[in-house]
Amino acid sequence: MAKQLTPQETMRIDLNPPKEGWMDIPVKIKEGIYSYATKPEKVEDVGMPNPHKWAVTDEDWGLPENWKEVFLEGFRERLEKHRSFKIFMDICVRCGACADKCHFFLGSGDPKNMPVVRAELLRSIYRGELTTAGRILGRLAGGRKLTRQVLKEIWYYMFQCTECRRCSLFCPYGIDTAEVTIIGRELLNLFGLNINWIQEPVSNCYKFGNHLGLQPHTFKQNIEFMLMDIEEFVGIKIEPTFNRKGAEILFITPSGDVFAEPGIYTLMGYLMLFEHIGLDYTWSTYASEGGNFGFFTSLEMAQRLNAKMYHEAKRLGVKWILGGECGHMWRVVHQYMNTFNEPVDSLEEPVSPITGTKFENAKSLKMVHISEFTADLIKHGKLKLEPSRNDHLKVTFHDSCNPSRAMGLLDEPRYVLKNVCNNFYEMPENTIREQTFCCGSGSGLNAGENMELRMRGGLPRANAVKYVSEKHGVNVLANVCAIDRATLSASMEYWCPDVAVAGVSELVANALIMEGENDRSLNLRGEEIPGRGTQDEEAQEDV
Amino acid sequence: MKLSSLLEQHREHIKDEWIRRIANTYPLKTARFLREKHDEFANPVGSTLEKAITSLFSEIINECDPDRIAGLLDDIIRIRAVQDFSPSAAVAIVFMIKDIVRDRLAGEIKKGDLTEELFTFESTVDRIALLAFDVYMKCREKVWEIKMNDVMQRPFMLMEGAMCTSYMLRRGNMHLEKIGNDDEFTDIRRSNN
Ligand code: SF4
Ligand code: SF4
Repeated sequence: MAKQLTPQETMRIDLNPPKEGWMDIPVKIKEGIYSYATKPEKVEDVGMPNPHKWAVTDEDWGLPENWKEVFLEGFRERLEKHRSFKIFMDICVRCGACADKCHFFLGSGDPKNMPVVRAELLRSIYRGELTTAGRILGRLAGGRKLTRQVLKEIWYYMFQCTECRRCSLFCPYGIDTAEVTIIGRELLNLFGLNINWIQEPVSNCYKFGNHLGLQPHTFKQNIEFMLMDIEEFVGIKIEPTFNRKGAEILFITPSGDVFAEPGIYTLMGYLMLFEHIGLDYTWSTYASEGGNFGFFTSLEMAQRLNAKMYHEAKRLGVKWILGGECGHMWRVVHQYMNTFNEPVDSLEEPVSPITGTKFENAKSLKMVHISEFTADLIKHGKLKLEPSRNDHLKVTFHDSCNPSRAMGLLDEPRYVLKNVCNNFYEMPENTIREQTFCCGSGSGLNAGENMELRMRGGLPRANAVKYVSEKHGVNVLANVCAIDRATLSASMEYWCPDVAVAGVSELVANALIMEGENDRSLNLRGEEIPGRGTQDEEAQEDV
Repeated sequence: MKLSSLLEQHREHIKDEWIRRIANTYPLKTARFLREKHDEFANPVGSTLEKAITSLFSEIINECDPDRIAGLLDDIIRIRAVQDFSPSAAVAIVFMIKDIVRDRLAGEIKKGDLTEELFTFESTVDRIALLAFDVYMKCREKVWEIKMNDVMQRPFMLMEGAMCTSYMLRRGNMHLEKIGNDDEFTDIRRSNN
């Protein structure tokens, strides 16, 4: 043989990966990892800067001529405006405690997905362009210059962070890389460099009130589909109201639950729960979205989209707002809504009309989480439940990043689950509660084209699910987030195909004993409940 | 001494070296992390690698059950199929064991005249590599299937009315099933044909 191929030549394996620092390794943008570029008209719809046609694979991303000045000026402005951001830029000692805590690093093995390096992407520009020492010493002081290539690298990795905040939990200085990503994305949005999966919902929400662009009649019609299903599967007729002035409570949930499986079953759960307790509430076809993709674009956009929630509460004259199962909606509501908007005088401190409980934690916000509300109902014995209907399910609970780390909602969903299911198993300690792993597709990264990224990011969570599935036979992954319901379904399909995904309220409704109900041999998905189905009965009769 | 006994004797070394070489297909810092952090939830890739390779090596030198081997390969390749590896690099991990065995046992193989046995062993490895290729393809096809399902649920395709496609299909099927089970309908359909 004249020439022999080396394994490196044939297999393209780099058996001696580069020893240089991360700055010397140029970014390689790979298909399956990024989401498609935003369409210019979606940027235009909300009056954001530099709407233009571009593609991630283009050499030229259509930056305006003065892009560098704009970026650095934007950077300076944000350092002044957000004290936390300035501190995060200054105080990291690169101890590495956060390095191996990110699900994207764990799943991809790419060191640039270590939170410390992700933040360094911006920090190096801060040092190299905006501090005197860094401008003089350059690399010696950990600084570098902003180039078009560097901007692409920042873009690539800012959209590989789900802003989940897990890393911040382990940082001795409390540095929150999620906030660095938030600012990083804001800066990229100065040039229209968003992904369409985020920008289109933003535009939809601005124009129609919800991410999906469901118009009022469609929103209502979709809920009517659910009501027909309830009538067929449960045997009861429910007639909720829409945009009703004078209702006591306004209910707001993410629109994903109005449209997509398996979220729609959670929505059926809400409808049944409210019917069960005779709640005086209304849906709104205007504030028809709890989620807020504006939050993944810029804080200003988040504020603009959030405003409708209080507006609608005021217009309808309700006393307070009840919120459905959602992740980032609760981060925005809990941490920003009060300061985004003038508090509404007409709203009152929430009191449960059924139990009389005052939700003091929601005193200033005027908005209560459905799990808190349900847990309180159960605690006061207000729900008639038959948990054995869920006996064929072995359930575990995924803490969504935002409710757990941004609002401390840890025990309420568990309390609810343990009361409506007889088989509940926790995943290992370092993967739940505050330390929970992200679903891998949050913060607007739940597109289809970046599925490889989503699978990587979903690996650590799925790994823990697999463990309880093998150990205890867990077959349901319950959660309180609309994005989780969609994204974990995909992740489970790849990593643990025997595990289904369900919202907590769906499991509640399966156990609820409704007045006038049928034999309840079907669950909310129209599937026969093992041991209760008609076929089982026939089989028994035959014996 | 037979090759199988030699492999058994050097089991720990070969297995560790195999894991080390696979870990080294990742960037330096990652490779170190994968090998050094011993917590199956804090280091899912490293611990999967450790467990699967340990079992895989036992399987190769003992029963060599193709289903079990495919299952163990699946544990590792499912991960590599969504990481930054070319298809060949994703499955190349299987061939590594050939080099390791030769490097480690060259002298003893020569001394004991075990070349025939080495060929047999290497042919087994080649066949395992083919299994690995099947596993890789299965994983990639799954990714595309999930992508496709995702499009079915894609909300932005529907600006006007209706539920997600997957819901509609399911409801449609449920009705069809009902009709199919209903004798009256079946009779009508039959008489129409
Ligand atoms: S916020 Fe989450 S996704 Fe972002 S770097 Fe930290 S751990 Fe990773
Ligand atoms: S843990 Fe905090 S200080 Fe340490 S490297 Fe990470 S961000 Fe920097």
